[in-house]
Amino acid sequence: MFRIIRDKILGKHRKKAVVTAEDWKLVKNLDENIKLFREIFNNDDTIRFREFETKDSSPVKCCLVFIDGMVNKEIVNENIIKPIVNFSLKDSNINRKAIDIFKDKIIISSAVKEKKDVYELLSSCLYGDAILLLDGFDSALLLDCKGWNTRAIEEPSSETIVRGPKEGFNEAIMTNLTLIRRKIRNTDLKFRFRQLGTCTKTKICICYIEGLASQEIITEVNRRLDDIEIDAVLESGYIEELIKDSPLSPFTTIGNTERPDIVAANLLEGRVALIIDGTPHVLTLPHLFIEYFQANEDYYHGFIYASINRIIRIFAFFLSTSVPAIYVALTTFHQEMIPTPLLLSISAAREGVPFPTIVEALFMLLAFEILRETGIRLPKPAGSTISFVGALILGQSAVEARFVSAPIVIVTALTGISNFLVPQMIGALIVVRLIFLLLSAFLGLYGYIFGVIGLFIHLMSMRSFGIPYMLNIGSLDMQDIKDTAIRVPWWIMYLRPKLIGDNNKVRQTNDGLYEKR
Amino acid sequence: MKKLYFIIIVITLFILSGCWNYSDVNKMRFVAGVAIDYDESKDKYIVTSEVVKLLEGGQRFGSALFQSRGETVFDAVRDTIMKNARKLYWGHTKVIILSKDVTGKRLVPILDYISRDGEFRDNVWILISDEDTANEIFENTFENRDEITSFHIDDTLKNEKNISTYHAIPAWRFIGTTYDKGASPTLPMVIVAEKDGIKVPKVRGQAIIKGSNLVGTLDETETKIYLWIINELEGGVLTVKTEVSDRPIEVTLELFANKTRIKPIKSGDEIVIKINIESDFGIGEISGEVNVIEKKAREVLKRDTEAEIKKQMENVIKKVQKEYKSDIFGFGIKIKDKMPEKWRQIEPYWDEVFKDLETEINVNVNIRGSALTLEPIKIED
Repeated sequence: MFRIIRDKILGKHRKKAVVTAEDWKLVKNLDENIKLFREIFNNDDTIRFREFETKDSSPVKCCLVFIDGMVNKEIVNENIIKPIVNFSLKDSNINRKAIDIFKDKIIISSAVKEKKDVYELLSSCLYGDAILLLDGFDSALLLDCKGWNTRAIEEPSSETIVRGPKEGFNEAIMTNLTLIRRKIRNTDLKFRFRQLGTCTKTKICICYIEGLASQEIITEVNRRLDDIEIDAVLESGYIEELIKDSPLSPFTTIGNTERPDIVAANLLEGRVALIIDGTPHVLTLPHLFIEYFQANEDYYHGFIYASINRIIRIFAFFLSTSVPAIYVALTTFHQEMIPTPLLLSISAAREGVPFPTIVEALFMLLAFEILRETGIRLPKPAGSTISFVGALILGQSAVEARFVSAPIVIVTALTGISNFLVPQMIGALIVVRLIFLLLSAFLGLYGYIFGVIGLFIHLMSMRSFGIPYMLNIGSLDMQDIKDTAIRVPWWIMYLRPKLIGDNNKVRQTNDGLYEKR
Repeated sequence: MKKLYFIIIVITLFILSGCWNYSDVNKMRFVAGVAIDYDESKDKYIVTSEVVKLLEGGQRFGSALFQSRGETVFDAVRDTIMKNARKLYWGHTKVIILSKDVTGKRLVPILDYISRDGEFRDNVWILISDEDTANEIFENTFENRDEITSFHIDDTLKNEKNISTYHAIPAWRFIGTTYDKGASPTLPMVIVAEKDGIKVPKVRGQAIIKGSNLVGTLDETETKIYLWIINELEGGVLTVKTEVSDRPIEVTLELFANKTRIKPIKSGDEIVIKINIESDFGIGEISGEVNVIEKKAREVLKRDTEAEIKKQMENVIKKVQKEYKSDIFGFGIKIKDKMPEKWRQIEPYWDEVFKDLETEINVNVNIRGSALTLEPIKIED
């Protein structure tokens, strides 16, 4: 359906004639080649052309093309320009093509490639490599001297923990890959690169452990990535939304994290990770519903404490979705279900409040969401003002002025706080909560139960890359529920999760995949 | 077409079912209790509702009374709503107090209304006013209306276990027993008493209802014995006069546990009701210097206690049999359970049979402990 709509919209706007790529080609004349690049980088002042020659009496003329700021100047000076300028081809008496000598003997760089294709040269150049043009050759050397500034490895602010590794991903894809590699020192850990974004040409890395990750899932990921037609990929959210199952669901079927230890753990369970250049958020898939409630810290702390925390998180999910709905249902439909003293104090608190309970609830929830959003958007120094204003004006003054009743403030606060126990789900929670609230305002608990049934049908029917979204939720097998509402001790977790880690089920064994090699 | 059917079904699910009665809590008035009287002269029911009301200052609750009259109770209730302007809510009504003249034919429609109405709870307490009218209980207690009489009565009734001078009867049980041929229901009675200068409602004694007519009452001690027989006694104290080594002494015993078994047995052509009582006591108080804890004295105490209990029980049973002729102990139900054949024969004449039914009471008392001290306190001269 969406494809039809898309084609309709695009049909109007798509230009008939796509800009025909000009046929750029290198020639054997250096000046011509420089001219070509100057033409290509027309109106771009960051591009540098540095011409120099070797020490010989009839020197080989060279030109280094690079983008200022993208390269490490020290490498360019010390390892590229300095050796070339000090080198004399005649002295070395080697009977080879000059370009090979340059490549093999002169330039000190970990990656030197000889390329003829101008497009390839350009895309590497734009990514921080330098192009060395030599007079008399219709090919150029591509030198790896990337050197832009990146953020240091810091603790991710979105997922803070008490115990466990504190490092987080940053925006450079290669740094992120090393962070993962450092956790899993194994030749089976595979990184497959591809490129997405017709304009941004963003690097994407599909990461998995061979022999563990299911081949079907990897194929499926690749198939979906193949289908993407987009000009830019600036964050992993683009990819997530483009390839996820149940695209209209508020629940996400692809996980994301900023922590290498979480990615490593996911890979070891047979999942696939998608690392996208330019963002610290790495996607992991397939993603199950229960993963919302799993924190990496659960596996580092004792299993009892971890299980308690997990049950609390599940309870918070219930509170966050249902408290306003149940409150409204009970106070407006089922007054007989509230203990008499409580009912009396609710009615006393509501005395003089002008709005019906449902309007009150909607208003307070809206106010809370506004506060939450401002808290995120606001510059940090102003943050405390918001919490002060929010707490004082909405919490206290509104009650004193009898705009809202005190119980609804308590309900909203409870809902709001529970929200943050399952931070990844906040978006879905808002939707579910609102639907539940409206249903119970119309039909009482009957409507609320309708909502709950609807939610469960929705969740149960979802899949993430072929894996049922609610996998193991209804199971009674100890090995299935080992890592759901409770986290059993490590010495009982013999097996990898069902369906995801089926390729090599046994997690703890002496003759497992990794011991053999 | 199938889709259309599906949509229609879903829509009707929402429209035709579920709760439709949206109403905010502050838009309704909570009725805490109702007192029902009957105006003989005008042939009308008088319904007095005690409605919870927020007191000045908004922190505490008091009550307000509304009285209205009607041909039927339902009619009178409608009238109360008009006087209140707000919807009256009966879901949290705790007590229904009936005056003594609202019995017999006047009682049935009330019971019908209670069990038929959607808002009344089935476990609302029913009481009989031992004053002249029922509304006196509301009107004459907590006269500045800063307490809620109904809630006070509710709390008292819930504490039956510790007091044992009345037996709280929820509406469902009362209505159920009225249907039953083999048993007569009882209802607790409430009066206005004075405590520390404040008039409070006091629940004491039991009224005996037979065929929806009030036939008699049991006083506080009789009610306790009644509870003992029907195995509803869970605690309480018993004072026994006894004589150890020729010295008279009064011992107060505290009931820890009790188990009463009623069993009808055949003896010849007659039915004898066997009542086996197994009670555990602890010594609560000894008024004297005699050591009753020592083994011999304990035997004496045990014997005397058993005799005392037996005597009291026989008195109560006899009184109920001879004076009220109503089977409040549920002997008929026991016979029906154990000897259905026999029951079919005697059912039509049950009232007559009950009057002369023989009972055999066996009491077994165990004295389990003496609390914290072994010796009685001796005062040396």
